[in-house]
Order: sequence, then C-alpha cells, then structure tokens
Amino acid sequence: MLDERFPALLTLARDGDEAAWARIYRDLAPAVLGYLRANNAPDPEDVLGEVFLQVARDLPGFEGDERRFRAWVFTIAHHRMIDARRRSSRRPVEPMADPPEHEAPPADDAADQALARIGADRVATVLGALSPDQRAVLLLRVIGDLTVAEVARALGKRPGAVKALQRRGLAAVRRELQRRA
Amino acid sequence: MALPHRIGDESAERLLDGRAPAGADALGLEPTALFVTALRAAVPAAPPPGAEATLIGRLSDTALESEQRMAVAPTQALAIESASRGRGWRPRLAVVAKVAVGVALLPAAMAGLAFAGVTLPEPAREAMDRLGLDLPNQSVVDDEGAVGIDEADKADRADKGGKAIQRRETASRARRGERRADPDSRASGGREARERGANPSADGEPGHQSRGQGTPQVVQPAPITPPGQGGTPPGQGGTSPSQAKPQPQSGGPPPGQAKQAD
Repeated sequence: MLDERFPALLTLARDGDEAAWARIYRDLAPAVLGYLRANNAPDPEDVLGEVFLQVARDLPGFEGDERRFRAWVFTIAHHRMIDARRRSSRRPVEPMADPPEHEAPPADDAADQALARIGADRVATVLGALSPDQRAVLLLRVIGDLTVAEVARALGKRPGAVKALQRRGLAAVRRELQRRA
Repeated sequence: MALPHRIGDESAERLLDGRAPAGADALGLEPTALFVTALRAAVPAAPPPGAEATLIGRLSDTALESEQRMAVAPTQALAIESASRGRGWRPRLAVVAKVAVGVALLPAAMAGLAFAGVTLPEPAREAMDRLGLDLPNQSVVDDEGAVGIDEADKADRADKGGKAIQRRETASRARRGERRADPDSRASGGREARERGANPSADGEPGHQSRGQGTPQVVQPAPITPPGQGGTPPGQGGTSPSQAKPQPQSGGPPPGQAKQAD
C-alpha cells in the first residue's frame, strides 16, 4: 500500500518511469496471479502479462485513488481471464506440465498461522468445491480487497446478486469444512 | 450435523474481514473465518522471476506511447468538433435560402394571378403598391368617382344580363306552350304563342305572375331540404308526387287565359 505517494507514482508511471512500473507490478502482480490461478485461468502467467499491458495502455484515461486503481486492475484481470478461457476453448488443449512452484509473498502472521492450521491443499480443495461465480466473488472480496459495488462492476452483476453469491459461497465453505473435519 | 442458521449479510461481511461474527461457535463459523484468513496467505503467488524484467520495459514504453497519443487526441477532437460545427450550419443556411426564395417568388405569384384575371384582396394589392408594382386586371380604387363608375357599370351589366335571361325564358316557355296545347285550342294557342314568341316581353305562361315592365328579376330557386331534415313527412299532407306534376290536360288555365289572370 502506497497511500499518499500513490498519485506521484501514477504520474511517473504515465511518463514511462520503469521504477514506478516495477513498484506497481510488485505490489499487485502476486494477488492478480493468485486470483487467476485460483480461478483456473488458462496460462495465468501469460494472462498476467496481458493484464499489465492493458493497464499501461489505458492508464492515461484512469482517474482515482489507490483503492480504485486496485479495483480497476482486478476488473481488467477478470475480463482478460474470460477472454483467455474463450481462446482456450477454441483451440485444442495440449497436456501441460505442472505449474512451476513459486515462493508465495510474505503474508501477515495471522494469515500464515491460519494457513498452517488449515493447509494450502485444503484451501485449494475447498475453493474447488465452490461454483465459479461464488469463487470469483470471494476471491475478489478477499484477495482483491474490493467492495461489493466494485465486485458487482467487475463481474457485470447487481450488488444484490453479489451479496447473495458471497453468502452462498461462505455457506458452501462452511459445509465443506465441516464435511472434511 | 445440521447447520443452525443461514449466513446473513452482516455475518458475511465480518467473515470476509477474517473476523468471526458474534456467536460464531453456535453457527459453526469459526472454521470459516479461519479459512478466509488462510486464503489471504494461500492464494497470492509470486510471478516467475524472469517475467518482471522483460515486462517492466514493455509497460513503460506502452504507457509513454499512450500518454503521447492522448496528448494529441484533444487537438484532433477539437478539429472534429469544429468540423461538425461547420456541418451544422449548412442545414440552417439551406432553410434560410429556401425561405428567401419563397419570399421572392410571392410577388411573382401575385402578378401571375393578377394577369390571369384574379382580383387580389386589398392587403395584397396594397403590399404590391408599396413595392411599386402595378398589377394588371385590378379594378381602380384610387378615388370615389372611379368606384361609382365601376358600380354603375356592374348594375348596367346586371340589368342587361337580366333582360337577356328573361328573353330566353320567355322563348322557351312559348315553345313548351305550343307543344302542350290541345288540338282544339292549338289554333288560338298557337297563334298566341307565336305572338308571345314575337313579343318576348309579354308573359302568358300559366301560373306565372307578371314580372313587371322590363325590370329584371332573378328567379330564386326553392330551398332544398335535405332528406330527413324537415318538410312534411310522406302521407301527412302536402301534395303527392303525382299531383305535384302539372296535368297536361286540365292543370292551370289554358295559355289563352293567362293574360286574363293578369
């Protein structure tokens, strides 16, 4: 999070400053890539590159603070993921090697402790039990840190529908955790 | 085990913040809150190490190009706006031109009507006078004397027309009278008819009154009542159609008695 320095960083990024872009990329890329992977996007690393290139192209037209910028980047990521799914459904599927293991960026202690208690595999299994819409809503709210209204704009749904999806998604998580307990 | 309650919006918001809602134990929501917290650590993934080095350079170039394009775009937008403004004047100019042509053609149309013999209304003639145009075939209304001459001329024409009409009517009645006359009275009736024919001013038509001495009278046609809007209903009086017709043998005085009636 950059807060007060964010407007200056955005101005530098518009002028093509590489350091500014490096800062933005390191701040957002892990969450965006995690979102793409958790949603089973095809070629998530390629889609990540497309997302940031579109951000660079459309940046002159963007106005807003850091929070809006984050929501904007996740909206682009969601749309590029849908495009990638369409592309992959049109071309023949080739057997892929296992995705390379990357070291996850450091999270806060509470999250690390929680992950240690539940386990990364279990998290992935529970997420896989959700419907695609429920998963997208929960990930945008938790990983993207978007509000209900921002998620609704990103997914092209009404806020009421997003609230219903997050309620049902959390209920499905609760059921799945109890079933596996 | 059955879950006690469905998750409400407030509880969902607390869970998404990674906090267990009130009474989470009873609702079985503590594991869910823990899952959401673990999700924050589990999902984010570091991008491939080599990707950043190549991508950052492209991002900075792309951003710079977009910024320069946007700097040019307002000028182009201004040019497009001014061009569209110019296009917007053309229809208005066309409308003004049409109105001007219409106004210019109006005197010509007036002159054409006047030349054809139409007497234009007074405001139109005054307007043409103001423009300095003399219209043909228009009556002179400049002085009162001219008006008097004009009206006297009209009365004279009416008088002459009335006499001519009267002469034509008398002649036709005389011819009809000859045809209706029976064989006994044909000789005298025919003679009288011939006399009437020779003297058009005499009036011997049965049922007709004298029309005065040379004063033209216009025969007013009987008002026509539309069907069902007045008049005497059939069978309630009036003259039957057969009775209304003049009887050739006995109806009216014979042509020879017409002068006695007068």
